[in-house]
Formats: sequence, C-alpha cells, structure tokens
Amino acid sequence: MYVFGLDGVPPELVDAGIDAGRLPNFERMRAEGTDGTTRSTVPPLSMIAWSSFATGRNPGNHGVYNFMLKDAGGYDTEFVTADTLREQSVPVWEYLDAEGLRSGVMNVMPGYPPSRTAGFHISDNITTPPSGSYAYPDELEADIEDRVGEYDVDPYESYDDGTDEGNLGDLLDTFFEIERKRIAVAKLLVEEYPAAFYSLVFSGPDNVLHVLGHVLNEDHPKHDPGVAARHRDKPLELLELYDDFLGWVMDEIGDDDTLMVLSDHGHGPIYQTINLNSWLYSAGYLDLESRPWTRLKQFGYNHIYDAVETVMSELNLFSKLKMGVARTSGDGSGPDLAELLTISRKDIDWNRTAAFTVASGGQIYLNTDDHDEGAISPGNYDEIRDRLRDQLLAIEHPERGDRVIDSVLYGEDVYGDAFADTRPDLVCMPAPGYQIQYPQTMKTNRVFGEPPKTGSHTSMNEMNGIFYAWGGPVKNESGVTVDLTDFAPTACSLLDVPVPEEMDGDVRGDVVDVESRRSRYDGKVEAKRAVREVVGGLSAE
Amino acid sequence: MTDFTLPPDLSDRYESLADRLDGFDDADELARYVLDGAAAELERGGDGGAVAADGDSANDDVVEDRLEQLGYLEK
Repeated sequence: MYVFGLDGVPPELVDAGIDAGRLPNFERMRAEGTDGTTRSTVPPLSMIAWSSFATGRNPGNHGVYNFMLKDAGGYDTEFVTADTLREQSVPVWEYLDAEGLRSGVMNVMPGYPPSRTAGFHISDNITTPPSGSYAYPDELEADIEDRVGEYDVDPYESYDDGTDEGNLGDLLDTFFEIERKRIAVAKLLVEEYPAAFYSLVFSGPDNVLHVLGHVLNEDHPKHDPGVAARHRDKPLELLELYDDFLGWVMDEIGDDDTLMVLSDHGHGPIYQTINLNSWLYSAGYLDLESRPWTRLKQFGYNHIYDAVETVMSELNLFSKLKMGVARTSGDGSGPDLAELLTISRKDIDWNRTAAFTVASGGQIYLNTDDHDEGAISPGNYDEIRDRLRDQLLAIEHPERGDRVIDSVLYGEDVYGDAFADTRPDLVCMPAPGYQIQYPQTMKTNRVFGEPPKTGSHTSMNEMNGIFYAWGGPVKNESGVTVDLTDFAPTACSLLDVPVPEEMDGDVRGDVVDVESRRSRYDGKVEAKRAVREVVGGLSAE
Repeated sequence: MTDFTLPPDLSDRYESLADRLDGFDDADELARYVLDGAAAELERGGDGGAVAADGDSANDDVVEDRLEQLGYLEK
C-alpha cells in the first residue's frame, strides 16, 4: 500500500489543475479510482492531523492537541515529538511491525526521533534537530546523501510572510528544489527499500501556500495584481511535479497494490490575527502580575514596541534580535532574555486568571482548581465556561465589523475523555480569514494584528483536503469524505492485519474492496518495544 | 518447527504476562514472539532500539524557531 501525503493541498487546486489538463495522473485516478476529500481534525493543524492519520485515533484518543502540550495540572508546556505520540498512542507502523510487516515512513509529523520498526523511517521538518540522525536505518541517511544529495531537514531559513517579492521568489525556488529532491528520495525508497506500507509526506504545498495567500486571493489587503501575475501559477506548477511522480508510481506498483493520495487540510487566505490572551486580558479572564518589571514590559509593548520594531526592521535587525532573545531561554547557561523581555506565562498572575491559552489554534484552558493556582471549582465551571463562550462568539473586528469566531466548541465534545487532564476546555474555530494566535510579545491593548503568513489553515473553510485512491482493490467512486483516522484501519485491512480495537477510524469498504476484522493486540507492540530496548541496550554495550 | 518448553518458573511469569498483554493466548505464544523478535533484532544488527540512540533528542529551541517561521508561534 502506497500512501502519499501532500500537506495542505485544497481540493479546488487539484480540481483546477485537472480542468486545465495539467494533472493527467490525478485525472486518471479520478476516472479509474475513487476521489473525494479528507476531513481534518479540530483545529486543522498539521501536527494534530498527521497524528490522527498515523494512529487512526481522534486527537482526544492520542492526546496530541497541538504542536505543544500543556502539563496536566500546571501551566508549562512541552513540544510534541515522536516520543510523545509513541507514549500516548501507537502509530500504525508499529502495529504492522508487530504483525511482521515492514513499513516505510517519510516526513510524517511528529517524526523525530525516527521509529526503529522494521522497514525505514525518515523524520519530519518540524521536530528534527539539524544535527540529529533523521533516518533509520543509519545507512539510509548515507544512501540518500550519496545518491540524491543533501536532505534538508531545516527548510525554513528566511521564511517570511512572502510580501517581499524578491524574497518570495527565492523562497519558492528553494521549496521547489527541496521538493524535487524529496521526490528523488521517494523514488529511491519505493525502488530499493521494500515495504508493505509506504507513508511518504511532502510538505512543499503547505510551505508554498503559506506565502501565497495574498497572491492567490484578490480580496487580500496585500494583493498586488502584478505580483499575482508572476507567482499565482506556482501551486499548480508544484502539483505538476507530484503528478509526474504519481504517474511513475502507477507504473511501478503491482496489480493488487493500492495507491492513495491525501492532504491533511486545505489552505486559505489570512487577513488578520486575534491575540487570544490579549482578548482574555481585556475581557477580565486573564491578569498579569503587578510587579514593576511586568508592568514596565506591558507599557513597553503597548507604547514603545512598534516604534522600536519599525526602526530595527528598517535596519534589518529586528528578526535577528527576536531570534537572539528566543535562543537565550531555557538552557540555564545565561540570563533568560526571553523571560526578561517578553511577556511570558511567568508574567501571568495565575491567582487572578480564569482562562488562558498556551498555543496558537484557539484552544482555551480554564484555570480549574486541579491546577497549581487554579480556583474554578466544578460547581462554577459550567457557568464561567458558558459565559466565556458567549463572549467569544460575540467578538467583532473593530474596523471590519464582522464576527471573528465562528464557533466555540466544548473540549469534551471535540476530544472525549481519554486525555482529559491535558484537554482544552474550549476550542474556538475562527471565521475564514482569521487566525487565532498566541504571541509572547503580548500587547495587552491590541487584540488584532497582521498575520505572520498571508495563507494558512484555521477555519472550517480549510477543514477539507484532497483524497484520491487508485489500484487493484480500489472501487470506482466519487465524492467520498474520508476522515484522517480512516487511513490506518483501512491500511491494516488491505494488508490482512487485524484492525486494532484502539483505532477510532473506519475501514473504508466504500473505497476499497476489502474484508476487515478487529482485534486487540497492543501487548504485541509493547513486547516488541521491550525486545528492542533490551537488544538495543545489549548492542550499545 | 521445534517445540520448546519453558521452565516452570519462567512459564508462570510468561503466563502472567500473556494474560496482561493483549494479543497473546498463552505463555508459549508470548515466549515464541519475544524470542523471534530478539533474533530478528540481533540479525538486523545496529542498535535496534525502539527509539533513537542516547543524545538524539528533539531540540526545543529549534522546534520553537520553526513554528515561528511557519507562523504558528510568535515570540
């Protein structure tokens, strides 16, 4: 089974390419196989979405709610890695491994450290450190470097918002070059690294669409017709690269094999951001410490920061200063400039805070009495949460006049109870064109701001990605909606492996001709992990 | 296939583990699975660990930078 992920491709982009006759292999998949859309997670962020793809579980059942997770009962956060996913869940390739099948994985988020199950695993663009070993087995990394060239695990140098056309052209050239190499790597893997299940993800579409929101949307405030004329074809040009690759795969695979292509969410223009903690502050749900340094920082951000930013940006120093500040934090080797200069969680007066957010994406936590300094008891939880929800739904943009939050969902309705200790209490879905942010450089008197990228995936408009299936077992259907949790159980069934009971997704019998059975065998995964730990320890010694 | 018999003390422990671990009917099945897996790992060579080698941990500063560059986080 071959599954290729194209991160962030909206269905209408492929439709346009097919209509223009530029994506013949997508067109063939549509004509001979099944096409439709995927349904992403809430919110539609890649880390959550690919975690559901990998595990066949809803976010509430794998516990990866965001790129960073809040501690249970506390206010600190930690970034998600592949270890987080392994500790809280089981990726499908470990179930397949437990049943004796090899898997091949590339760039599925979170991917670092790479799994050492049978087959191969290449880690992802977000969690892989520059000096880390990005591939398993080790000889794969050397093979890639020898035969394809450098595998860039850190492709986001100079990744600005794309509104500087000179830099935009360079960014696009860089991303195209990276994707050409990734496709060469994928061909090497398919040809020479046998596996029963391939799951290879390309980040190029998401990377490119993030900086083209103003180019592709004529209503975007930063839209320039001249710039648009020169760059608006880039997304389709990129899809043509993948289309060629898919044609090559269709020639390579056997008659009984299955090919699936999906994206984890769509993409759309972003006009404005909402600083959720600033809004919570202004609405009286969040308070800052009254100590002088915090008040001084607050004054600085509200009244001086913009002028400093403007001057330093003109001198091309501002981004370097921010990076410098950020890099001094947390390692214990010197002053924590980030904490000193930014308004961080350490400036929040938790005794006087009822609600807060810890990451972008609109997830809100109530400061319940199971937190270190929380005071909201079960008796007043519903009243406070419902009042906050009503106020969130009523937020209007002061100039545009539109409501900025479409829906506010209860955490338990979206995520269930498996990881209730770290689950958000509310999830806000913004209106199209808005992005809910969490900047540490918090201007308490400013709720709305310019977006860091002109394109993104935040609202219900970007909840759907592409889905195409083709090959021996694939039926000829159109217009199906596939949940991201459906891929893993469907893969198990196609490979004649029991579907783990722990998976939430469905085996898509409407897409492929397959019989399925469910079983509970997490113990086999646990036994395999233990064996690897013991043998690995022996080998290391 | 060669049958093997677990010593009584191991058999009891494996029986208890087989009851706890989903996917195994009895001690013999679990023992065979563990032995087969260990042999496969030894045949693969290398470190064979379930996770990356010591020192291969994600770097929070790097992740933070990338999330900021992608527009998911602002410092």
